[in-house]
Amino acid sequence: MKKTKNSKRISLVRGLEKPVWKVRLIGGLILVLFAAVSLKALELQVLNRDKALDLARKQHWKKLTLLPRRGKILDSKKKELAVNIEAESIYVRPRNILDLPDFSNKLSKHLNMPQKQILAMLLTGKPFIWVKRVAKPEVVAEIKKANFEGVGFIEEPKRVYPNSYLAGQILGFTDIDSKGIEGIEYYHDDFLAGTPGKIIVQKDARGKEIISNSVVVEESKTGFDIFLTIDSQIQYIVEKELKEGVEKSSADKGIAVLMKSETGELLAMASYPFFDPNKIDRNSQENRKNLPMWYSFEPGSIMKGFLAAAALEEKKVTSNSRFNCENGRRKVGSSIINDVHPYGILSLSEIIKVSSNICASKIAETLGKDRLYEHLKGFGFGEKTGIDLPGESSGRLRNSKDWGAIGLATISFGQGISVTALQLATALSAIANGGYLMRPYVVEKITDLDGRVIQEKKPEVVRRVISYDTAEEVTKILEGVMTKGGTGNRASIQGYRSAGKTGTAQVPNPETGGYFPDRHIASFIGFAPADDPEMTLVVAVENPKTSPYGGVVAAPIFKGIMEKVLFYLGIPPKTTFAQSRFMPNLMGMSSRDVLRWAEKEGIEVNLKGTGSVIHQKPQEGEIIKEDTVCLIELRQTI
Amino acid sequence: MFDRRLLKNFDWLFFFIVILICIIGLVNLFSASYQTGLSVFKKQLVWFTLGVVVAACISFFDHRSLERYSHHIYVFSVLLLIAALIFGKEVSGSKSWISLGEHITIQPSELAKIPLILAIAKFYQNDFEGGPYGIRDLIKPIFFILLPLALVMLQPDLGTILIILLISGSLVIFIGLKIKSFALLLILIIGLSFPTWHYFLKGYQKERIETFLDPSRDPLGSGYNALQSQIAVGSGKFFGKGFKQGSQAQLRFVPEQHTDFIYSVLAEEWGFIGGFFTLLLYFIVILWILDTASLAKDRFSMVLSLGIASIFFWHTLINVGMVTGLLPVMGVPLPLLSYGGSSLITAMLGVGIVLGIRMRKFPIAKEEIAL
Repeated sequence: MKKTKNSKRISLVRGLEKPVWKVRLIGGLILVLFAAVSLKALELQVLNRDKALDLARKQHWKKLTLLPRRGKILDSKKKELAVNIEAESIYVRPRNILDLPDFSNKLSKHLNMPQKQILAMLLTGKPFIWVKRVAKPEVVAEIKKANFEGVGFIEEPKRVYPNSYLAGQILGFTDIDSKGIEGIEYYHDDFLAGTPGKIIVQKDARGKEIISNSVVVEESKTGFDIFLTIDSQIQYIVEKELKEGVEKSSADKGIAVLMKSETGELLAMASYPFFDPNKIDRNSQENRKNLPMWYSFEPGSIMKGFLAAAALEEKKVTSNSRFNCENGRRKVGSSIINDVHPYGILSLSEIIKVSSNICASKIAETLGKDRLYEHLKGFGFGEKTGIDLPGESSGRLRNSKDWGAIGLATISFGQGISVTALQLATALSAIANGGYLMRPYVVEKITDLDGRVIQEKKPEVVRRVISYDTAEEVTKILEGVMTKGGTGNRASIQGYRSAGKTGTAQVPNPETGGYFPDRHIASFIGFAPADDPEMTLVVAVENPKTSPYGGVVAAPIFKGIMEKVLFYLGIPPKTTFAQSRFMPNLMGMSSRDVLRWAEKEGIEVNLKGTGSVIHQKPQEGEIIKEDTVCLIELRQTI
Repeated sequence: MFDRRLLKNFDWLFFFIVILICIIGLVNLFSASYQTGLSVFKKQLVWFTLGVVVAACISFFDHRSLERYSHHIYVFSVLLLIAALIFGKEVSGSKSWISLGEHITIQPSELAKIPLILAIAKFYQNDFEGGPYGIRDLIKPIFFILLPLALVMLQPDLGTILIILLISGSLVIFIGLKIKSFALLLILIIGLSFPTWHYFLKGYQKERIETFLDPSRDPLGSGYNALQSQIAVGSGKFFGKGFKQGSQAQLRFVPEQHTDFIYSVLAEEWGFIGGFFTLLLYFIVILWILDTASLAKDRFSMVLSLGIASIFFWHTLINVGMVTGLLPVMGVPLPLLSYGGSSLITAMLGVGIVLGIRMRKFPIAKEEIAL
């Protein structure tokens, strides 16, 4: 044993006779055990690595959806009606909070929310809880400053309507997740929403996302922009006039539709009370509704215009056909029809002008149930117009078979049928544009972010309703309504020819089956200029208190809107004014008379001196131009 | 007192290998902690420096003076263990730490391992009979083992109990045990393990063993550590993900990744190659210490070397076994690599003693032969 080098050394240690094999054995044992560990590592890292890699990938990476930016809504002049701003949302991870009651108490002060509500949210057991979506920037700043553990912020887009209530019911609104709920936002949600992107984000053991280590798989695509046919300037005029008119007559609601007569494009569409889509919670459910297309009502005498069109188209009558108005009282079957004012024999034009119910029923009788029904159907009543907005009502036009004994008579003056303002506007536009029923629309075009047009709306003819000649004829009759002695006189616009028809309808009482004695819908439909129709306007006012008559309540609103919009659109007046374009002889008139004349004619005068006129410029018979200022000299004569 | 020949005989290669493992550990800790401000790395750097100084100092100490004071050192370590039970702070259910000021905490159960080996070595040094020993002969060393064991059991710290048993048990068996006594001990251990399972092990300890047998049983509970650690090791593949690139480590999925699970960071970022290379270094260090045992000029230094080899071996085996999922999860650090002052100082003390024994092997042995 002492011969080998090893044993020589080890033999020095007393009591260890055979240490060499022991050390070797131990060394071998250690080798085996280390080899076992290494093999295990080899198994994990080489043989089964995919399993571990898969598990690792699953827990390290998380797929997130990148919310796209929502497209804008703009008016026909590229003015923004709906845009996005970035707002921060506040979330809480309750697991990271030690003292939940204390935490919720502190948070409630910042958020101005009840502490109990916050605590209840945090105790739902979910790991991630939104406490406030799209919070106000000052609140976010405050909470960031307080630096709470477990509170985080995420930027989210918030939909904002910069013009508050302007066109609110047309635009509609989105929910907190930017999903369209009403109006354009709902109807064109697919275009506006854009395409969500995908992003893969690394997350740590606590589930916290590390955005800096993210991989974008697919960029999100911003939604398309939608351009409306609505001109917000015109919309503003319409809304302002409508509001004033409704308030003046202490009415409940107001409706107005302004349409391009030729194309069916909507220039404005208003419902009062207004709706501000920025403040969804504070508006009643009712105010969200776009009344011109959602609300159907019995139109009343407005229908006489369409009755006349039908009768003329069928050549049963001419505008000079005469009917007996029976002095305001006529018995049909067991019922009695009344006129507001008693009349004798009237021509068709005069009947429409004064709006006689009795004669309307007689015209209807010459036409017959089926013919009238066909024509009303032709004008689009009883069916949806197909406008590119959600929630349209079709109104109610019963089949002529179900009209009953008095049905033909009542429908002739607009009872027992219900229509929407939008239907009235499209039907009247057909008269204005020479006989074409157009499909109304509010979306002019849809473009992508770079302005490339994705979709463009062209005017669409639904059908031809009446001949050009009939349209001309009816227009003339409706022009008569606007003249002195017509019911629509208060709607006539100085300097322009216009056509229209008043309506005064009772509101049906669904409980009694009759009508409310004191509730009316006062309406006015018309278009201007009558010689070259540009726009069709329908105004309806529900439950006015000052007067029930369309000619009193709705006609001035029509006038107010038309006047301003014609001016805004730069449509020049060309009028009956032409007759007085020649300077009259003012010699010898008093200054008061001159001023009265000037005011009546809309002519500017420059008076010099007092007494009676001794000199005028221009001279009698000379033409007065629009910008002419008449110089009038006066002198006291005894 | 200082002998120049000592410097000439200083085992630079062994020292270098140990330093290399320490540097691997520091690099690894840097990666594991740079996201949390590197405070762990910086502390460990201080401990490392201190450890190198301790190892160097100890190596120049004549181990005969260690022998002289080994009982004192042993008593001091037992007192520290008692202090831990009285003043210690409780971390995850066991009182095994003593705070010295704000930044320093020591773990007496870690520091007690070398003193225990010293006491056992002194026993064999003074015993001239030579093995194999019966149980009756070993009453003294058994007492030395049971005293710290009982104190650790009170903390309680399952991992340390097991490691003390393995270190001292394998040492006693290696030196020489009668077959009968060995059989008796074996029966005793098996006989005691059942009541231990039922009456002494805490619920979480049972769970750990149960989930070891089936880690997917409770992936978010007690099997979480094991599973996450295996995912880390496995996803490192053959070549690793690279320095600071281990997603499992950087995203802090592996609990205790600075301390007991540090090897998972290494295996994830440096792959099988890096892990195997490090394991090889450990293997070399252990064989080196075993070689030192066979070179030892007296029984004290021989038993001491064997004990230190035993410490390194069992820690490494159990730790790496646990990280790779070969063994159940136990709180056992990896010497030189895991974060922690007590563990590093203990390892460096061992390294210092081994260096000291190696420095004095030839000259003194020659003298003895000459006598």
